[in-house]
Amino acid sequence: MSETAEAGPSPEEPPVVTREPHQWLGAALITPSLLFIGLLFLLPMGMTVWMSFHNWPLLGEPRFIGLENFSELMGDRRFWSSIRFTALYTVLVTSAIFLVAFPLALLVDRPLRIAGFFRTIYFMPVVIGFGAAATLWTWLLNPDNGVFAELLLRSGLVDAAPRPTESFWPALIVVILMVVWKQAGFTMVILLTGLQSVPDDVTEAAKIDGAGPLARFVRVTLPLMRNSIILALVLNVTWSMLAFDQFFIITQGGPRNSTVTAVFSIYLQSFSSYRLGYGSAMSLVLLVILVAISAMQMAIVNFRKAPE
Amino acid sequence: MKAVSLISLAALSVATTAASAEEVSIWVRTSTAPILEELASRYNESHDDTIDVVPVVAEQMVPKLGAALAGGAAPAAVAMDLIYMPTFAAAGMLEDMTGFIDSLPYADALSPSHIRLGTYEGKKYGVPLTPDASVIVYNTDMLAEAGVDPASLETLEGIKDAAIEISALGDDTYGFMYVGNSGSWMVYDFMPHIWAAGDDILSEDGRTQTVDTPAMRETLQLYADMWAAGATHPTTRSGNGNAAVEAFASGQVGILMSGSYIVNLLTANYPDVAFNIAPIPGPDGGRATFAGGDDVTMVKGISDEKKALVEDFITFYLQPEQQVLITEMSGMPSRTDIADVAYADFDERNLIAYDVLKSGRTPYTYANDELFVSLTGPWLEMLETGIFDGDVDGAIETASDRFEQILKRTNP
Amino acid sequence: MSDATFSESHADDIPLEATPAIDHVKRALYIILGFAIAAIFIMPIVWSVANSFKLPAETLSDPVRLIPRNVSLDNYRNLDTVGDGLWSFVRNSLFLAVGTVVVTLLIAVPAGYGFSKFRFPGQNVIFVVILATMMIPFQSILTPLFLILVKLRLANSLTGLVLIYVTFQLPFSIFMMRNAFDAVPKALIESARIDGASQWALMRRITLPLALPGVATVAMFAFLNSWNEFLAALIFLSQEEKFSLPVMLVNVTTGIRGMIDWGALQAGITITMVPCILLFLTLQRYYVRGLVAGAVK
Repeated sequence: MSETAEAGPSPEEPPVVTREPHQWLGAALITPSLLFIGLLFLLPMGMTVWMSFHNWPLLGEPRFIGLENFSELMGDRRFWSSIRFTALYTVLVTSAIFLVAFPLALLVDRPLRIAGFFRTIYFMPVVIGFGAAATLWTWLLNPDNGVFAELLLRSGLVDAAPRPTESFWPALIVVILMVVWKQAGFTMVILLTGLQSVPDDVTEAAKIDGAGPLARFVRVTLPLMRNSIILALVLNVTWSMLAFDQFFIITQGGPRNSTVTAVFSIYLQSFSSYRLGYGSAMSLVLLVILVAISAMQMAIVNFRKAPE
Repeated sequence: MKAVSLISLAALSVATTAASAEEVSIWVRTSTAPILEELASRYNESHDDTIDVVPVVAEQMVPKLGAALAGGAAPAAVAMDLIYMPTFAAAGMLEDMTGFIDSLPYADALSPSHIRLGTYEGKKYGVPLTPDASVIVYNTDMLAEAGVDPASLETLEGIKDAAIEISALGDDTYGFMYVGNSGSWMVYDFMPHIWAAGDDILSEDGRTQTVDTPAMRETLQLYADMWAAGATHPTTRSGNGNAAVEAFASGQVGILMSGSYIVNLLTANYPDVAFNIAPIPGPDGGRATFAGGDDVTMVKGISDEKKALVEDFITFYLQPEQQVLITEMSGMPSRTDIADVAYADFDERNLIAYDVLKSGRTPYTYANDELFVSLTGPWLEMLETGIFDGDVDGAIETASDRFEQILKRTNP
Repeated sequence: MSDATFSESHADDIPLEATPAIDHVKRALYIILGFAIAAIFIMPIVWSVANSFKLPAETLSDPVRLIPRNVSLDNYRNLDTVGDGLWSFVRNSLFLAVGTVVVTLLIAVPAGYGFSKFRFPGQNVIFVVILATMMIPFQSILTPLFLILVKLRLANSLTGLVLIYVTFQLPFSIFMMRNAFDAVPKALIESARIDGASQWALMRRITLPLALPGVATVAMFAFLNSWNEFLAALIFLSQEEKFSLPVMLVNVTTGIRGMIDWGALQAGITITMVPCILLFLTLQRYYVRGLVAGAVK
């Protein structure tokens, strides 16, 4: 989200006087927002760190235990397997979304009324929440009276209704299908904005230079829409790393805990095992991983920026 | 004159009740909710105070109750699966009910397993609501058709052979079924095999694990064989309890791992099914059952008025009339001294379950949810790996480690 | 630029250079392909809505059929047996969504105005801190949030949940509002001030109307995010009478009465989905504006 930071007031801006006379009023206007962010964001951030050094049961007295939570966490195979699974899911679902969203963006990037209609339809599942979308797909997928089972049986493709949530890969694949269905439109729109921000004269110039459509796309359009690609990438990766709803609802972590995500395991530790301190330690590790991923993505952007 | 005084008496009673009417909510897992709701509505009809029954999805009972207790929004009472009792009692979240329980004239006749699980450091925290015992139910017609002697169900080995023969009867026919995707169902239906062979999964005090026993290996292997042979109904792996009952009632399944409640459920809803009940055997014989059900327990720190109301409600449902209702709906009374009354109008097949209940067992552990109930717990993981993937050794090894870890951490 | 994404078309496309006949074929193929993909995206929604209006038995026996044999509201009525009934969940979700919208606007609009039109010490630092909070997901601080709500006596309360939703809506909303106010020409404000307009009149009569599209964007995002939120609602609401629609849906899928009522589930999904879709269709240009707020910068 470097873009947003760049958009902040830049130091060169003409000073104060042309704006408002009452400085105190400006400060007063932002005070309520600071209260919210301080109380319900900064304070809990600090508490997460504090709690991670404690044995902190949901009921009863917390006890300081230093780094014990972290040393236990290092050897916690289930936690690390949930992190590995989350990473696998993130890579697969992000690739799948891009594979679908890019062609869609190209498809709807037309000066036609009907293209606008298509955009709206492709985008529609995005506004449905994950809760509703995941329960909807639970129904579509259920072997007894789900639509998919019925369609497959009628078409004669299968003899018995498939039970995708009973084994690992089918379970993961149906969740990915659901998420692609729900989220592809979002990435499509962001990529579309990128496509449309490429000035016509640049592509025209490349065309005059004799570049074919594919070469033009790879060498001219893609680099110029880098910002939207990065934004879509960062958002998709972050959301996938934080996935919870779709697995809690569709696979319930099964089969055999193979689809328990990082946030899911934090939820289980904190609210099913009542171990808030350990859950906080897990949260911190997840947070570090997320920040590292973001930093890596930023670094790659800057690295690729340099040669130009 | 008489009429006038009657009216004024009525007016007086209305006035006093309006002032003192109390309401308490009782949380209950969804499977027990219909019974408690029926009891509450009977109670509410005849009393001025109100019992409000709140059903909670079984898997969410522990997270929700924990959050509610920590957040000061807890109900006055909970009808709790008795296997959770040690955890919540040890956490100091329950109200001591020893005085009340001991004062009941039939205190000695309350289901012993319920009392044992509800006891922590000598104090009693829960009163039995719905006892039940796990049993096998089998379709007598299908057994006869496959030429299987019901006596062969006295060992698990025999059940396996029977299941394979029954499966051979037709394409859509399976010998065996259970609820394989639910930890609590599997403790209920699978664990008795181990007990029947004289082994156990936890030590007597619940503090150490004994997962790796010959009985566990043999039982897992026999289950795995039945799954591999296609003798187990495919919905076993993912279905819920209802799917199992429906499959059995529609003649798709010959032998179903079930519970004492099944007798009245089948006779009421599927009168045409010919069935009988058998105790759960070990791999080579023996018999055992899981003494399950719910305890009514009070949350620590509730007001005396609410406490009195909950106690009154408990006394109400322990009366013979209500005990008959509970027996009708769940298959067994909460009191052991009125079996004759409770069962008078019902099927005698109920008594098979009632007989085994006397020797029923329940694991006493502080980590029941993490070990057995949670969809992500080691118990379910072991069953899935051992039975459906056929990797018995790997399943037992992983489970021993995870049981060990969890117990080490949760022992108070 | 971003506004154009949905509603208007633009002319920077390469004209099709073929003869009219091939042109028509291409166009027809394009439209067929577009509709085929549209079908994939819209059918799950259509099936759910269609099944919600069938008789419960038909939902089970013939889920594929799109036009119900008998149009019936039974599935909706069956939702009333879940907890405190359908309207209780709708009411709770509305409270969460409307509450989040109102409080977010009450806080973000002045804050955006403050950041845009005033200078005060530490302003830049504070703005960057607020934006940085966008990078920290609330999933990672759920437990301390829960403890804070307990201390504030707002655990298991819809109001408490609104406060959390507002907090995590704020960074984006303040950013949007500051940009919206930045777009108001300074000359306009100056001339109004010369005419003697008060601070309040200035904001109410000149700046706010011009920043209204930004307000719509912020409101829409706040509504959709709080209406659809699941994890925090699952953890923070422990009593059934407080449950929101997504939590209710999940309870129905796990089988609140031991058996999954697929028909009632479709009714619940439809009620959860349709307001979002209608809102999106009416206000889609504002939604996209917010979506790409960072992308084109």
